[in-house]
Amino acid sequence: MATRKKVLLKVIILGESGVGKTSLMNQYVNRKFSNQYKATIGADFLTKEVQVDDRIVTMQIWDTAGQERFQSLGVAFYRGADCCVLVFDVTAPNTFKSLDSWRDEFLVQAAPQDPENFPFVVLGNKVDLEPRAISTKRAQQWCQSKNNIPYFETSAKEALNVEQAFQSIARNALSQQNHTVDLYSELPEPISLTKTAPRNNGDSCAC
Amino acid sequence: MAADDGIEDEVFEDQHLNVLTSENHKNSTPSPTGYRGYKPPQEVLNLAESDGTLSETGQEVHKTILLGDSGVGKTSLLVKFDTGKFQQGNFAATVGIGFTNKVVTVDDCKVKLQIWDTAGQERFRSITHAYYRDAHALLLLYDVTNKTSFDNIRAWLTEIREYAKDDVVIMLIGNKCDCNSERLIRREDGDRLAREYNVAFMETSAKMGLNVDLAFMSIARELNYRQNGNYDNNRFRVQDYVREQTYAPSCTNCNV
Amino acid sequence: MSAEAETNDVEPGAAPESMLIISESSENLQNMSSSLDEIKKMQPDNQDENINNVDPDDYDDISCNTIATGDDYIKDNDWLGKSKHIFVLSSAGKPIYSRYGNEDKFASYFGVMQALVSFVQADNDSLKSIHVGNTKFVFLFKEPLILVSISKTGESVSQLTAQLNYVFNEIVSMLTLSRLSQIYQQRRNYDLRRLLAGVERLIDSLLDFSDSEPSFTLGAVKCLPLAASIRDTISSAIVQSCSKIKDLVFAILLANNNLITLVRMKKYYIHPADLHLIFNLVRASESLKSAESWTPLCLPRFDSGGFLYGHVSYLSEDCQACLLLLTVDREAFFTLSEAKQKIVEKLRRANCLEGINESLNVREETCAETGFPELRHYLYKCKSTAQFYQPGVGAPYMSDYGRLLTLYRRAHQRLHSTSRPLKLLYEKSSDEVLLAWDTKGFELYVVLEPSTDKSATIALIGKLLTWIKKQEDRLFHLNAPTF
Repeated sequence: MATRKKVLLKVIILGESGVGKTSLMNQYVNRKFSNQYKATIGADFLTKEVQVDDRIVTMQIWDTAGQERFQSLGVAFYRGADCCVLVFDVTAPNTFKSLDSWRDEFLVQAAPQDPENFPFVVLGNKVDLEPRAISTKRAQQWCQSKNNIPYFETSAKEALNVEQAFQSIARNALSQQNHTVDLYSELPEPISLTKTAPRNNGDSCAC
Repeated sequence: MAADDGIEDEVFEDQHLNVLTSENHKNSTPSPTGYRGYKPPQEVLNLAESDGTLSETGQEVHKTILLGDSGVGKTSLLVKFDTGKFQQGNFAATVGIGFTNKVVTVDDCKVKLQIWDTAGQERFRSITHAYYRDAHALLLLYDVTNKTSFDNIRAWLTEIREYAKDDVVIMLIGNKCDCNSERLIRREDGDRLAREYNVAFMETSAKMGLNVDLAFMSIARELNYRQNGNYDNNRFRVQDYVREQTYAPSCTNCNV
Repeated sequence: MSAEAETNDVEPGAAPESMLIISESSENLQNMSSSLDEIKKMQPDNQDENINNVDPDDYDDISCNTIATGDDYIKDNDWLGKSKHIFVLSSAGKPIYSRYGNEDKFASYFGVMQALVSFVQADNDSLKSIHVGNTKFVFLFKEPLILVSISKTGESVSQLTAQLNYVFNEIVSMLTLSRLSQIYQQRRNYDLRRLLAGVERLIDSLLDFSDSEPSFTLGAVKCLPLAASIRDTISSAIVQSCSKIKDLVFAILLANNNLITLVRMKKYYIHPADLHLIFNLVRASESLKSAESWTPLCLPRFDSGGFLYGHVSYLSEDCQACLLLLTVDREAFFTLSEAKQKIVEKLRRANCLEGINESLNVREETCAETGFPELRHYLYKCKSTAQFYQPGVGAPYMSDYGRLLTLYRRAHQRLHSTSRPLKLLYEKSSDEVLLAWDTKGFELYVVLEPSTDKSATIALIGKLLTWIKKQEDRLFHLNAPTF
């Protein structure tokens, strides 16, 4: 109740280098995405407002670098994510095969409360290209086996399904938010004076 | 404190409602800012001398709580009722709970209202819950220009059911009804919700003074009525009373 | 009373016992040997300013470009022109607070901030600050929050960090640290803005307050000047009315950001930083004037794990001093409400309300009015009581108090620099002479006419200390009354 602020969702985009994560973002925000931080600190960031039913939500999208040297940042980057987007290239079988390890790594690093039901979305990108290596059916089977992850086939180049995919991402992340437990139903413990050690001098920090 | 801007002083009900102020009511004390020679009114001194809390005069104190999302105008409504002034502009949010004592006269009886103005923010929720239990009456406010505040009314009512006494008097109030151009919640939406939950309903404007006294006076009347043993379990008398008394603004928006 | 303090000539305002925890250890107080000789030996200090800019934790290899990634603020000159931005985010990078602008709109920058902190952390290091031209980016990571200050004000990294600490404590004071940690343990993706609705206003106020006042920099509070007899009467009225109330920890009376009195439970002390948060709460909450209020409040330096409950009310409509009665008993409202009425009545009968009003209505004398024409302004902090005094502001700073504060902050930083602290700073410029002196008992910052020479300065400071000493029982709260 009493929430005037828009919901803010942290969305992480993962996948091998070259699957088109950045192009998807470019397409999605209709503008050249600068990629300015990725090489330096391992991720780039984008803000986008989306309407889901009658709610406006703000998506804070983290486009991560796929390189080895940023793997150690996983914990920090994945922490507190509301949704994870796994991207592969339908023409490159290795990028599909690595989805398992991306998903596993995310779950290990982010350590969400309820890993079984954590919202993922899978995007099979570059469907405009031939030859196709991963069939729709194969991708769907994998998604079903992972507790029914929603699957979208996209083409960043031709703007195919990109909007819809991000809608679904926002919706999934939001559904997770709605389960928020009431953290404030209990009255916090009052101070017990016997436990609070009387303090006098010697408290040397002036800040 | 925001000064009375002097623009809004049409208090609709003031002429025919005999509103007494409580003895320690701030407004009854002229404010010559305490320079030498200033003497507080005798009743203030008497009160302090007798160590008097209001309940000592033998009458029951009726605990009334203002509830609703933050920013719907709970404090403004109370300040308007208490002082006749409207806090213009961005009036700062209530910190925790604010307490105001007010004595009003209804049906030739003095009724003592102890009004608890609660902060609407979520972090204060657990603190205010503790006060629901003792409440005799609840004024539950939303802002007719803020859909979220209206949507949250159901959740508030659920909370009230959980924490308050079963026989608590509840009045649903759609505040800021002067803001017609920004109105998002029609009067009939509020009315329908109130009927669904079997609670009294009115629209108010703390800014214009519209129905402000009526809101509190209806509560006082109902509480007084019940105290005198006229309480009928099966219906809310206050609802009918409110319907009879509500000043319905002539604008089309409010009457839909 | 001040009897004991009389024995010490050069530490006006000192008291045998303080109601405040002092910011620095007081163990050395007995050995105090501050003397004017210290000044006589002083050397003008011409060392240049770069002390402030040296920070071992600088990360020079991170360049922080300001190229648009998707928001409008970056093109907004008004937003860009602010001299100090403050941001608060969760350790997951979710926005919680921005001093200017809607934090939603530049959520991506919060991501960058979190990434920078994490990037350095991944090397088991911690990012303290980044310096770009005259802009400092200062980071404070206090689990579970990250606080960032981007400042062109010239304040030092440690001063900016201290301010970020205040912001963190302001948030803790609303939620308690235990609750804050618990929330993020349960849900790392939690959007804290939900629980902090309305607290933005308190943080805004805190930042304006600390930017416009020397008390935060000094780590001290200013008292409302009052005749000692009036202050004592007020204190004893509170003690008498409250002595039988169990669990009442502090009674604090303040007006216009000045402390009138503070009565405390034996053995318990309040830290000036906690008192500043209380001042800020009162300063920022107009609604406290409309009714008696009852609110939970955590004092982070007292106990960050739990709430005190505060009965907060103004004494009366004709005396705008605010009384806070802080207890650990969450059911005590009516007991305290009654006590407050008794206090007000006692104060009214003893004409204390008038005394408070008179002091509130009198403008503080400037140095010239006190009889020190060469002295423009000064700050005097008594260390053992964590209280300070400053005279009224006269020419040429009346319209530019900010510049004076900047001078003081810079001097404060020089005295407290971790790498090379100074005992004494003497700077002469065409605009003014600035002297800052740190002794065991006090800190003194004095600004004089540019024509004042060294020997005149020394003589003046001697006279000033004598004057403060004479006035000490009016300017300072020398007692530490207890329930």
